[in-house]
Amino acid sequence: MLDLIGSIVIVIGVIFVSIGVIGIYRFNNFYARALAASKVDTVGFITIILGVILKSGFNFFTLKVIVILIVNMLINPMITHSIVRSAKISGYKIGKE
Amino acid sequence: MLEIALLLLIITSIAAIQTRYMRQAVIYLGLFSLAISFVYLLYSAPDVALAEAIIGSTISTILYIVALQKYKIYTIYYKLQSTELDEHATMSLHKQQLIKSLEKFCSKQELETQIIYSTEDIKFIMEQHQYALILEEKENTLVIYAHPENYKFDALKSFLEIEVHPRYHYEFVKVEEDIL
Amino acid sequence: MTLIIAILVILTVISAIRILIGPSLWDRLLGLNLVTSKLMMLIILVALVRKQTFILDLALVYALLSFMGIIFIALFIQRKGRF
Repeated sequence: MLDLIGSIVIVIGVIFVSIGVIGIYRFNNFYARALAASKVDTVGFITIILGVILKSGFNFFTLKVIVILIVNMLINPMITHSIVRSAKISGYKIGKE
Repeated sequence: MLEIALLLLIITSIAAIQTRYMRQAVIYLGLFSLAISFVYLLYSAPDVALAEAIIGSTISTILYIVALQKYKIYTIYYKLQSTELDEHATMSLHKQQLIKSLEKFCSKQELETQIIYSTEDIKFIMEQHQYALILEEKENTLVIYAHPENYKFDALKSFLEIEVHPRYHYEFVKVEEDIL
Repeated sequence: MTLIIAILVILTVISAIRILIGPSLWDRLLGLNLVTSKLMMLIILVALVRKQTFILDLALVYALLSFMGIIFIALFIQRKGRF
C-alpha cells in the first residue's frame, strides 16, 4: 500500500518538474523565467524525495536521502538569488548577448 | 536512455569548441561534465562518476575562470534613455549595427567585449566604474568618451573612419586625467 | 519506474536546450542550475531502483559542491572580469 502511494507522489513530483520546464520556455522575460525555474523546481524536488522516502521505508537509505533534501533546500534558492543579483547589477537588457 | 545521454554529450562538446565567447565555453564544459558523470553511472561505475563530479563541477570551472582573468576585457558603457530600458523595448536596427561593428573591432584586436547598458549620468559612470569607452547619442552625432589609459583608442579611430555608419557621425573625446 | 526515469532524462535534455540557445549568459547559468537539480533526482531514483546505498554519495557531492561553479561564474560577471 505504501509502495503505491509512493509511486503516485513521485508521479506528482514529475508533473511539477514538467511545469517548471514549460515555464522556462513560456516566458520571454529573464526574471519571470528565473522565478518559474527556481520555485517550481524546488517543489518538484521535495515531492519526489517524499515519494522515495515512502517507497523505501525507514532505514539507512532514508537517512541519507533526508540529508540530501536539507542541503538542497538550503542551497538551491541561494544559487538563483546569486544569478539574479548578478544580472541586476550588470545591467541586464532584453535582446542582449 | 543511455543513447539520449550520449547524444547530449556529442552536442555539448561540439558547442564548446564552436563558440566564439570564452565564458559560454566554460558553461558548456560544465554541462558536458554533468552528462558524462551520468553516463559513467549508467555504465555502473559510480566511483568514477564521483571523481568526475568533484573535478568537473568545482576544480576545472574555477581553474578556467582564473585563467580567463588574464584575458583582457573591453568594457563599453552605452548610455540610453530611461524609456529605452523598458522591458518591452527592443533594440533598434542601427544600434545593433553599431554594436556589431564594435564587436568586430574587438575580435580583430583579440579582446573580449562586454557591453553594459546604463541610464546613469556620465560623470557618475566616470567616477564610479571601470570603463574603456562610454557611448552617448546626441541627435545625429555619437560622442565616444575614452579612458585616459586606453591604448587602443587610435586603432579604434582609424577603424571607425573606414567603417562608415549610415546614421551617426562620430565625435571622439579623450578624457583628461585629473592631476591631484 | 523505468518510465519515470526516461521522462526525467527527456526533461533534462529539454532544459539543456535552454543552455544551448539562451540569449544571455544568465539564462545559461539558470539552465545549468536546472540540469544539476534534475540530475540529482535521476541519481536518487537510480539508487532506489538498484537498491545500492553508496550511489547516494554522488548526489550528496553534487548537492554540496554544485553551487561553487555557478556562484563563481556569477561573481566573475558581476565584478566585470575580476574576483
